[in-house]
Amino acid sequence: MPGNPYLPLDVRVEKVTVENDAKDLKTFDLSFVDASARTAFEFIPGQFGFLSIIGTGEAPFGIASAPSEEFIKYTVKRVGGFTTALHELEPGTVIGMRGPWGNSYPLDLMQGKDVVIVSGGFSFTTLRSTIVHLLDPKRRPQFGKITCVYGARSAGELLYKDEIKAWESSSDIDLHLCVDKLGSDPWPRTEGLVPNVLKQVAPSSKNAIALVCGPPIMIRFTHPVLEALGFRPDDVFLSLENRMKCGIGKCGHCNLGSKYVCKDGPVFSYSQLRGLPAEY
Amino acid sequence: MTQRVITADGLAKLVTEWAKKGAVYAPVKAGSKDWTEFRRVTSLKETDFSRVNTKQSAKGLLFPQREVMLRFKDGKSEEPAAPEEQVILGIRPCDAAAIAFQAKFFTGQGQTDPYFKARLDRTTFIGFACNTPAETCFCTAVGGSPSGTRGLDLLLTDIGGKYLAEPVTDKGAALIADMPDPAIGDLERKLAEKCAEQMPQAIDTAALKRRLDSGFEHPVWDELNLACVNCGACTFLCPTCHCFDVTDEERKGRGARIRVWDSCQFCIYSQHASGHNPRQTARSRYRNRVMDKFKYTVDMVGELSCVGCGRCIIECPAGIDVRETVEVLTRQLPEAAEKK
Amino acid sequence: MSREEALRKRARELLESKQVVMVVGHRAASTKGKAQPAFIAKPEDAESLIFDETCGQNLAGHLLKVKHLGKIAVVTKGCDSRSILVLLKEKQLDRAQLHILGVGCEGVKEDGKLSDSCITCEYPNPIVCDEMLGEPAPGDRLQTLNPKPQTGELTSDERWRELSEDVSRCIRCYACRQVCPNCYCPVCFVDASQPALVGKTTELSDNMVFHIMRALHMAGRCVECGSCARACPMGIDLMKFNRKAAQIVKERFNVVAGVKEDDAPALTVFDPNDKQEFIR
Ligand SMILES: Cc1cc2nc3c(=O)[nH]c(=O)nc-3n(C[C@H](O)[C@H](O)[C@H](O)COP(=O)(O)OP(=O)(O)OC[C@H]3O[C@@H](n4cnc5c(N)ncnc54)[C@H](O)[C@@H]3O)c2cc1C
Ligand code: SF4
Ligand code: SF4
Ligand code: SF4
Ligand code: FES
Repeated sequence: MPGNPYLPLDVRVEKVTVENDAKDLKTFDLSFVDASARTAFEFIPGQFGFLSIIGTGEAPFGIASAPSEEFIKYTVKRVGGFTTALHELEPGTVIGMRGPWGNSYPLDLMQGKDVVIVSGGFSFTTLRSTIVHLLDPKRRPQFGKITCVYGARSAGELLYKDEIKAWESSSDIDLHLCVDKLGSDPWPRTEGLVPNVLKQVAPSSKNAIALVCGPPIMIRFTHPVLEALGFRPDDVFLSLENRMKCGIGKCGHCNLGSKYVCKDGPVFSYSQLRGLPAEY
Repeated sequence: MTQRVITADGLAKLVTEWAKKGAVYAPVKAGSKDWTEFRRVTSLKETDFSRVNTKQSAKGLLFPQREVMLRFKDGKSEEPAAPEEQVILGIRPCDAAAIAFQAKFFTGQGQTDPYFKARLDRTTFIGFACNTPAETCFCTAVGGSPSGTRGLDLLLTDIGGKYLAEPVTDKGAALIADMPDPAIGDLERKLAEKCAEQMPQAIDTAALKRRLDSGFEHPVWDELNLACVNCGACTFLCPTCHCFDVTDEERKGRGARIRVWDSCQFCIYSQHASGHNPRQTARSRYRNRVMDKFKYTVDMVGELSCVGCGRCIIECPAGIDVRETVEVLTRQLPEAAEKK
Repeated sequence: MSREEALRKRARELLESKQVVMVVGHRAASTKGKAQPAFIAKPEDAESLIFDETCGQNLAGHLLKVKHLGKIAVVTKGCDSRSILVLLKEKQLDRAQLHILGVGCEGVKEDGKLSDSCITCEYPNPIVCDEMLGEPAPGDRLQTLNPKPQTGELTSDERWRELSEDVSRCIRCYACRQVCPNCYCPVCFVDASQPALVGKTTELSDNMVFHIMRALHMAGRCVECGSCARACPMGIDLMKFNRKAAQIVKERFNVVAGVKEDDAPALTVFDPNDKQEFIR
């Protein structure tokens, strides 16, 4: 069947990185077994792919690498059957991947504007992709000020620690890291929940776009803060994770009313979401 | 295209011929049970067109309840072989319209589903017009007709031991090219009109859609679903329902990735791995099914996904009738203000 | 006053005097020969209540959906009352929050024929009730209409063949499970994903595992109301499994589900003097 969208392509696990103290978050760097497939795999930050282990199943994950990076990167939390099997993989193993699926963050709309990135927990993945993409020296001048508030339960739970430490001292991005509870570690220095920290940082909403990705509870408390800062519903974008089986608008699982999160999302503006059932 | 008349003998010969070239599926009495099912046949003798509709619709012939997507052995995977050519004989106009809806859904709006497409491309649809509706039929209320030709290649109408054959596509015309020309004029249409007269009035589906557009949060849903037990009977028997789950089966290094029908009425259908479930309540799942039929698919592909076959009414263990649901919604939901 | 009139009158009185918040009963469905569970909260709606041979649904399970509302009156024939007793013993219902409106049952019909489980029913009258409406049904009439089905006398090969033929028709719609008053597990074994216990396809092996496991889960709890068999769109006689299990439970433990208020459920008690070797 030509162009069968359900057919995974072979990818090799190049590197596995344990991201957190609890060891239930691992980042997988993947390369295509058929190298030419890498060029064909064109994606934009915010899109996702399905990883597949034959005989075990498949599941959707947000792409954490930027388009310019060599390897395709995913950060996966071990939660159930498939993700447990994934966590057991050794470098060198060949698995399957299909995609990229879904829309992306609104890069065109962000041109010439300030960008405010708000994220909590391990949903930082596609926002890492976005930040790496925006910070590319060739691309950086196209955007205004980039502010990011990123938080986790504790320091050990923050993803991509080396990278974010480097971003903290970069003038290209104003990064605010926070944790629910400060530990003995002197890093990071801010204690507090993401919405509260966002309130203190108070980025300007003038000519700005906000990108939000995190657990439902964080999303719920973040929105009033953005609203108070003057962000219009058209300028706030959320990335959703409904249950998915196909990724291409056929299996029905991910619907939000008349929209499929896999095909019409996963990124929706807040004004779009207001017109849809809150079934996410 | 020229209509023809086929005698019972003529049809019997055609069926035998088709069966030599590929698979022919037609309604057959289901053993000791009091209903008919689509089964593979080799002669007209095996068929039974006496029921208006088969227990399960013909949807499984294009979208099987269990379909192999990939087979694997020792770490290598391959796609399944292309499906066989098939003739579906005796499909009722509502079921054919349902497959036309599914075709739009599976092959349109973005990606094409290759498994559905492969079967669709190899299927010939020979419909059977209905002369007498069942008590639960309401195709005319949702835009269909007992002699509707949508999705068909050829429509047959029983005119008393003989069949009036109306080609819809070139493929259908070619099937009966050798048959004699009829001298009878509008008999078929008369039969159809007579059948349609016995059916309920049209539902104002456009008005219903406008009401559903703003009726998601309305308290009417609190009462409507109470009797519903959230089983999958209505969705599995519905000819338009298309949801599926994907599952891997493996034993000793061999196995397959398989898709199986799924139902939005099941609790785990929408449950995230975290345990969070956006449609935790029975009420929200019932609402999703009704909304999907009369609003969501209208937004998505421009048409309702109920063809009025009545299967969900016949089989609902809780005695729920979709016609009544629609009536209550139309009566109780306020009409939305015109969108600017 | 007919039984139906008495039923409507009492339902209205109970609602008007606010002794109950809802009456759960039956009303006529729009299709001939079918009834629908009715959830009556307004006194004037009591007029729609019916009780006749179309009222085959076991209402006990529906109580679980509305018990949070307050005290509920429920129209209860023999088998419903047995299910209520099982649910009371399993601590799913609170007797003080129920008002049981007893009705004698002459048997329910499916497609115009008396349902098999009604032919063999030995308890057409409620075992527990707060009041009886109309005359009790003659207790021994039904079982003499027809001899009991003879499944027990088949050889095991014949039995397997017959059950396989039945079960191969199953489309896994779970109507049988969903209408069953005693199937209320928050996560059913067929839905468990870690590990997945039952295959999701309609292959005979998957179907058989589902049905055998369900029958085992129902052993000692199934009250033989026949709701599952009547609900099945594919005409599968699920009572072949359930009757056999009930028969074994009766022989081994001398327990019949839901016929006594004070006995213990057969398979959920631990007794050091248990005859069964394996339990010790
Ligand atoms: C667009 C999108 C992006 C995602 N990105 C990430 C990511 O970057 N990192 C990450 O760790 N997780 C991500 N997830 C969630 C991830 O897909 C689930 O954690 C994963 O499917 C769980 O599979 P399991 O078999 O281990 O869990 P189980 O609990 O065993 O799941 C059982 C079944 O439910 C399905 N399932 C459960 N929840 C989901 C879900 N939310 N989406 C799809 N299928 C589900 C699984 O496929 C499986 O078949 C994302 C989900 C979506 C929809
Ligand atoms: S409407 Fe009827 S058939 Fe459909 S889920 Fe509810 S109880 Fe089952
Ligand atoms: S919703 Fe019911 S009547 Fe309509 S097409 Fe589906 S099964 Fe038939
Ligand atoms: S109701 Fe019948 S078809 Fe549905 S799951 Fe039960 S046995 Fe199978
Ligand atoms: S994942 Fe299948 S429709 Fe969205």
